[in-house]
Amino acid sequence: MPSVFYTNPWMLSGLAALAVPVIIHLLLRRKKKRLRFSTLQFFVKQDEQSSRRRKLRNWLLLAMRLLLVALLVTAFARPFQPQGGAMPGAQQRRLAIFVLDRSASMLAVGTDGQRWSQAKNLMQKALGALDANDRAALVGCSSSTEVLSGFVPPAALGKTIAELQPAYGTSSLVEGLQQAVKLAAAGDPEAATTLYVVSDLQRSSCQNLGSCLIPQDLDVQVLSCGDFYSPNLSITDLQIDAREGAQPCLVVSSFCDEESIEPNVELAIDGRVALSIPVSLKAGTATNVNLALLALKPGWHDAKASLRTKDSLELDNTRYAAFFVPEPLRVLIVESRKTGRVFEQDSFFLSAALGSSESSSNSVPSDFIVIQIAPEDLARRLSGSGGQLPCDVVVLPGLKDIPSGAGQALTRFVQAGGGLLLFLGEGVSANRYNNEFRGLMPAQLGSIEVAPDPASGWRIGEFDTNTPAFASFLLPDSGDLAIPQFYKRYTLTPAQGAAWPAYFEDGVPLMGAGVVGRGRVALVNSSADTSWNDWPKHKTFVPWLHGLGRQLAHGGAHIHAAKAMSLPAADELEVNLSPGARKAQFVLQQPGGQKLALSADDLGRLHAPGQWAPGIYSVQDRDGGEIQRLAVNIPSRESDLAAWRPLDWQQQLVRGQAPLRTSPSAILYDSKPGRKELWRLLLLAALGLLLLETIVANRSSA
Amino acid sequence: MPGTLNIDARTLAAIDDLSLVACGIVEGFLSGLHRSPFLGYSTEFSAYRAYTQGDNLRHIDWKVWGRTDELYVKQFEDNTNLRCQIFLDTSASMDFGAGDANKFRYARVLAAALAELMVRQHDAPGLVLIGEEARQAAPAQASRHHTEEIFQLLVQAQAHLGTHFDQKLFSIVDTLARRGLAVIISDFFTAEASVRELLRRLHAQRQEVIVFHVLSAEEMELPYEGEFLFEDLETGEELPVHTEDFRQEYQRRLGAFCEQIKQTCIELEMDYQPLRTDAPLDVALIGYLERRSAM
Repeated sequence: MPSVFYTNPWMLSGLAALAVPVIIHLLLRRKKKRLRFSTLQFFVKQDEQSSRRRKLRNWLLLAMRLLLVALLVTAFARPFQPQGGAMPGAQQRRLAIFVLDRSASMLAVGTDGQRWSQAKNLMQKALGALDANDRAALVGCSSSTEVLSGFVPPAALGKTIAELQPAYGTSSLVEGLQQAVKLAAAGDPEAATTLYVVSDLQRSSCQNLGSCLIPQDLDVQVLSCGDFYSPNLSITDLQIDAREGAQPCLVVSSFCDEESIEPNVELAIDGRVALSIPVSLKAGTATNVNLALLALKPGWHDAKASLRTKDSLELDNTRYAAFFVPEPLRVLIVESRKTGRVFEQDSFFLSAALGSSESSSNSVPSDFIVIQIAPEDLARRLSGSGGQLPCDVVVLPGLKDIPSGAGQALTRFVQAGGGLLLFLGEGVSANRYNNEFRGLMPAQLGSIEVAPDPASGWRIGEFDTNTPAFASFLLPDSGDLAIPQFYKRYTLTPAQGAAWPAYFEDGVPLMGAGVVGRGRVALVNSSADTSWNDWPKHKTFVPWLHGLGRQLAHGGAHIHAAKAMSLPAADELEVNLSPGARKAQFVLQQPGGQKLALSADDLGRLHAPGQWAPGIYSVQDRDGGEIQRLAVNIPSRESDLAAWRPLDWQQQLVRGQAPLRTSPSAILYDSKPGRKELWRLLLLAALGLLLLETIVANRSSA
Repeated sequence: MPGTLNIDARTLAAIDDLSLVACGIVEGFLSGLHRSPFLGYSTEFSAYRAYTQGDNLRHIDWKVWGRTDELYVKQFEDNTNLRCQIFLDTSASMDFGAGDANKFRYARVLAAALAELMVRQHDAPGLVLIGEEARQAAPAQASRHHTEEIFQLLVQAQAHLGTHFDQKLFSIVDTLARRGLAVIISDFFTAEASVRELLRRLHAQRQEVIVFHVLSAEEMELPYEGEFLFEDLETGEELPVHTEDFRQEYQRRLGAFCEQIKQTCIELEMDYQPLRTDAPLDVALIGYLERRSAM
């Protein structure tokens, strides 16, 4: 049985007060009085039993009152038990909680070797200092913070640490501290708890440290690994966009205080080195490197940019990108003017806009392949393709003469899924258009209107940015559609079911669109050249025309073409596929060639928990067809290895009176290091006894 | 019942002259009854009084009405000489109750007041004392001197020994050959069967019976706190009792005992009147008059 000691043993002299209830009991003891009563016929002998019960109750009350006094006196003497039943000053049980930084920066190499190995060694050393009776727990901090091990014997945690692998994401030490404080609160209240922070103290991992309240009596020790100053170079961004006009580039950043020699950047596309260039970089700055790439075939591609240098963190010297090059759309433009000077042609601006980057040296080809044909060849060209569409979109500038059979051929083409873009202009016969393209036109043509003020003309009023044709104008610096002027136009009678995504400022339709069979038709109430407007001369013309071309081609299906994904390394890989992929089975091919079977959830998303190293990953369907490629890179903020000194870091911690131990037994016993105080328990017992005494006393007098 | 009646027996009893007490009670009682129809209607004219609702129209003096235009009722001296026997319990159990609330004292005053009232009603009161041995203390007679004799007997009576409703008492009852009124004043703390036998015999003798069950407030409430050694006044038997523990059960048993006697009275068409010694006597006197007027 554990010994009990007293903080105020002299208070035990108060036990003399035990005499008080005895004296009161004896003084107040009622003597049996004699009473002459008329008759005893209504009393029975059982009253004697009642008397005996009463006597017993009285003795019980006296005993309870004596015990109550004894409890109170003992409580004031502040009894306590030395922890573990041992004498005060004996060895106390210890709890160790390790908060381990598993971020990518822990893979940096310094003067003492790799930080990760150093961290593991420090933890093993700390565990070695614990006894078998002591307990240790582990909290891991990477892109998510989790308790990797609850309180276990030191040897068991040592095994866990030996098998632990680093993660590639960022970490938040404040979250780790919060978890550790919770663990400490739930731990043994009698034990001495020490919190070990095992980290390189990278500044980006130590934000908002003040938001975690550390209890006053919780010992926090820093097991710092890594150097205070770690020079590092990194490729912090690599962007290769498949969209036409996007400029591929990468960003190289220096996290050094001193100038370094010009490092070489090597870019490999699909595993083949595409270029290798030196980069001039000043200390502590970042530079943008534009990449000139060769044309690439349509389909998925990946890029790997590598920085040839020797620095602290090798992992961030390589960056990956995945991108998709779509098939170009075939656009058939009907040109009626036979002239050697292309700028006099009706389709001059259309051809220039759709084929704008054909001669570019950039890697990404134009989205469109433009083919010009004469009007009389249109019907033959559209009909002679053997089941497949001969092109994706047909563009008709305003035609003076419509060859015979062209109307029927265009109708069949559109109904089969082709796109048709109609412009108007001088010499267009409204009757011929209305007759020949009946069923295709979103509106019936009326007569030509001339702007009342030729100097200013009509301007575009409303336009629908929800349509692909005008969606690009949501972006900043995408141009002002109110600038182009229109001098002539037709009066229109809208057909049923047609949509009108754009109007002139006076409310007359500028552009109509309709669906015919599986294809789409758009009518522009102006000319394709500059005879009726000056739009082709403005920067808004090309993006509008490209958006409209994509909208008309293939019924707009290619708009949803796959987009490349770049993800930060994290504890879970999440890939958003199309909603049509819900519950479908897929295979995730990893950089090393390993394959992992996955199934999409109800929203068409793939979840792959685990540690995913930087590299190129590929999602394939069951038939092996690649439907998504993604690049995983370490977060760029891990490249900045600037760190806190342990002392400075400690000073950022906020100490408070937060209850370290909230377990019921801790409340009851009010444990202090080395002793278990019993006074609360005694007072609680006295309170309970007082309550019981009140009940018994009331029953006696009832 | 008149609302102004309020005769405090304890105050009057303090005078310690039973005849004076009884006369005072009856005078006070009768003055409260001046508009009451309880006075008898015999053949000899006594006085006029104003007509009150409930009076028989036959007793209205129409000549007086003709002269004064007011209704008066003629009152007559009752000369029926109804024999009324007062059975007074003189057992030791009756000598219980502190001071004025003593049951025997209360019962004596009640008996005296009844005797006085009976004589004024021209009835013939008699007195039977029931104790260890019952005896016809005074035969039923309707003279003023007889009242004095009854008062004397009551003053001399003492409560002692046991209560025996035995053959001696029954033989006295059997002598009541003439139809009359019997008033029993007792606490009935005796064998229940003998009480029943007494009542049955009175009923058999064509006696109209009024039972005054006298109990003190202490007996009914057992207001004592703590542990007592109770001693039976009649038998001297002792019993330790903790009143707090036993009060509820005691009151239940006493209530059942009273109810039993009441039920017996109801069965035998007798009046049962419980009397607390701290209550005025008018309830008892009214009870007598009601029974008397019904005969």
